[in-house]
Amino acid sequence: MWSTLRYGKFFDVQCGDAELEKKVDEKIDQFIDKVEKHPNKKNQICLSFFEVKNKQQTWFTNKVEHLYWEHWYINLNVAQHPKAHSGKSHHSKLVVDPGESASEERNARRATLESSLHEVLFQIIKFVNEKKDHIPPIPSMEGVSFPYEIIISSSSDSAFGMDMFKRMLQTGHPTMLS
Amino acid sequence: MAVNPHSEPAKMEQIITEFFAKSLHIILESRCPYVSSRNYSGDQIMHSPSSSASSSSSMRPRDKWFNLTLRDCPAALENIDFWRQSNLEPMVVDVVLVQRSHNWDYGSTSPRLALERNLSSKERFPFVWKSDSDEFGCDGNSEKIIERWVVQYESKKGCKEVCSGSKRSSSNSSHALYKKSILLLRSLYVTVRLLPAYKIFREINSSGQIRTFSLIHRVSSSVEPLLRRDEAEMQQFMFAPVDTSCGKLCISLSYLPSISDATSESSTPMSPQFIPDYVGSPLADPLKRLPSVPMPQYSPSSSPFGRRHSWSYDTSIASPPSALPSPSPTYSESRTSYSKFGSHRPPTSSRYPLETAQVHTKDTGYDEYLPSPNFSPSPSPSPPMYLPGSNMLKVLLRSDSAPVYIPTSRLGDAPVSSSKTGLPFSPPLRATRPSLSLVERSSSILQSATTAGKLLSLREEDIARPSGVKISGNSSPHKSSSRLSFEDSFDDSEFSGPFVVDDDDMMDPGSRPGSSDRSGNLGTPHERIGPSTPRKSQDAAVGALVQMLKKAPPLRQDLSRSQNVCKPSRPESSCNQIQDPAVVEVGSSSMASSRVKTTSDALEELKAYMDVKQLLLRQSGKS
Repeated sequence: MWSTLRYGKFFDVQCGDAELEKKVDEKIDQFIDKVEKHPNKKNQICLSFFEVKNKQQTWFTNKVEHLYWEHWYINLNVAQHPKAHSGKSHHSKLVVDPGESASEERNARRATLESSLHEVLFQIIKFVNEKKDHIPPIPSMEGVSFPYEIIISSSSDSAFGMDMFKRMLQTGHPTMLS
Repeated sequence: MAVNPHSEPAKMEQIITEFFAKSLHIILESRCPYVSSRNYSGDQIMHSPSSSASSSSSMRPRDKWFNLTLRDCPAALENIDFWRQSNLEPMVVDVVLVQRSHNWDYGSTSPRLALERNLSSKERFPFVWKSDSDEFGCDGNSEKIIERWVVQYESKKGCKEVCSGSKRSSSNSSHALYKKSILLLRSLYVTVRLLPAYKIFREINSSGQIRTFSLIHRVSSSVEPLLRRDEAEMQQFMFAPVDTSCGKLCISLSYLPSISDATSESSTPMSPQFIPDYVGSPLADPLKRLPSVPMPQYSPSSSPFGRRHSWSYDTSIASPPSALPSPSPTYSESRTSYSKFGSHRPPTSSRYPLETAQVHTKDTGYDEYLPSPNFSPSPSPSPPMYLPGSNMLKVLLRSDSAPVYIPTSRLGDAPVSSSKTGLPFSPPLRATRPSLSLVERSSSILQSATTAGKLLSLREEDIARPSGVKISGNSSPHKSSSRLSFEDSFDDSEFSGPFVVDDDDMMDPGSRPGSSDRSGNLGTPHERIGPSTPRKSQDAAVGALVQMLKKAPPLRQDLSRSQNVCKPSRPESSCNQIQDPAVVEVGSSSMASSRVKTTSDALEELKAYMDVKQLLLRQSGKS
């Protein structure tokens, strides 16, 4: 649910928890760096919520088990924006003030993005509301959210698909949203 | 029986009561315009949902509920406990958009709004925001319910309050209810900010200027039926109910997906533009006749055809493209517009599809490629105008001439069909009456020289010829006149298209701008202006057509002769530039060899064609 924090600046929805926002911003910056380095790769952000289970301490390990109960897979592929006036374009435009058309394009793109984000967020709301039984009891904790982690992977990673698969297998939760 | 305040039923009752209060708070804090600037600090609308919020000083005990601390919204909250008697009554919150009437005097009102509570009855408890001297809620202003929220607790009939389950399950039930309520309220929190009314709310709050619209709300415990027309416009959204042991908590919503009446002027950076010469989609009506309107000057490569269709319009029109919808608060409306125009968007080679974030779920049904005005839904380089070659011809040729039928299926059949247009060598059949005007039209159209434009120009020249434009060759004028008459006789007939190769088909260069040096060429789409992918695919179709025609068995000796004559003049790769001198030679030779035709000759020829057709049909019947 709080993966929409970034979009909150579009829609005026913000978490209010500084630590969480900071963490999310860091992840977003990390994602942006990754995308800038490898522009044409497919990327996936996996937001996972888990329950912390403390296993019994043994001599060797002090394992803290993460029992995942929800994964959100967000596929983000950054499209390359075309240049304003490409000489190769066959559909050459009429004489237009470059700045004007660029800003209008930007506005149009932004409006499209906004509307598509609306759609996505509505989808998220629907899913969140439909399935609540799998959510563990709210732990007595500080903060606004269940324990979570954000993992960014891209198609160039060696085990991109395998990672996803492994994660799915690890949880083995029957009501996991796929 | 005394109810233990700490018992499960009591806890649940309390949770439900607070749920109502909280949901009302969430709705109204994002729909009530601020009373004064005191409560509003610019763009800072930070809400800390954590129970240990930093703003604890302003936090009241109620704010701690559901881990959601909200901004103060005094109007409704102070009274919600007052009027709400029972959790079993639904709570209906109507958000109303009020638009001032035209004769409203701006000077008579002040921007400050005062709260007026109207205790009309026990059941109805409307809260109406009213300005000082002018009442928003009074007659003369138009009101429109843009949202209706219904929060209710549906109790199961026959369910006893005391849970008979084990202690463990009963203790969990209130916890579960609380947890699920938190989730539901957070969903509500996000949803109120996604709806179009929120933008109106922000607009009202964003500046101190007096606006012609405002938001008021009404809270009641009875669901007044909406007007049928209002209800028809509204979309429904239902949050998944939170089940309890004795009922379920539901929030349902009816909202107007598009609210653009009064608010669009401030949020529209671009004004809608009227699309001149809108011709519609070729898929809708490929045979629609297009008006003959002089075309503005477009670049040659801007479209495959001079007369632009709406979907290709915006790549050539100056800013802003008229197809671009304005980013109004109506997100779904804009989405609709985008999808409508996006499917017609001609992509450019340098553009990529825009992919938005998509959530991996089995219910992912939304359009992940919501098109933008500059992005195509698919990376295919072919324009949306591309149709199978013959259809393209159908579409394109329609724009400038009388109805033309290109029977693609018939091309493989008998090449001669008098009534139909399968005559490969028949002259172009076209209404020649407005030939001169067609020439003029073609001149203007040809300025946007594209493939189909060129194709059409070839047709035009066919027509123009009879009007006596200079043609190189000796016997051509006579032929042209006879052809004219021949064409007249086939005024309403169909023809096979511009790829029909006449034995003496010579294009008139005079009507083609900038090509006065050429003495003519065959009526085949040899000329291409610049390479382009759509032209190539059209040319491929054309080439296929030509191939079919060539492979057709010769009808008669003289026809086969003309076919042979014409063959070398038709290059296989029809996207090459025509070799004018060679073609001219062929043309003139064919011209010289053919005899002068008169009307009667033409009629005889027609008869011959009909005979051949019969023959072929008989032959095909036998085989």
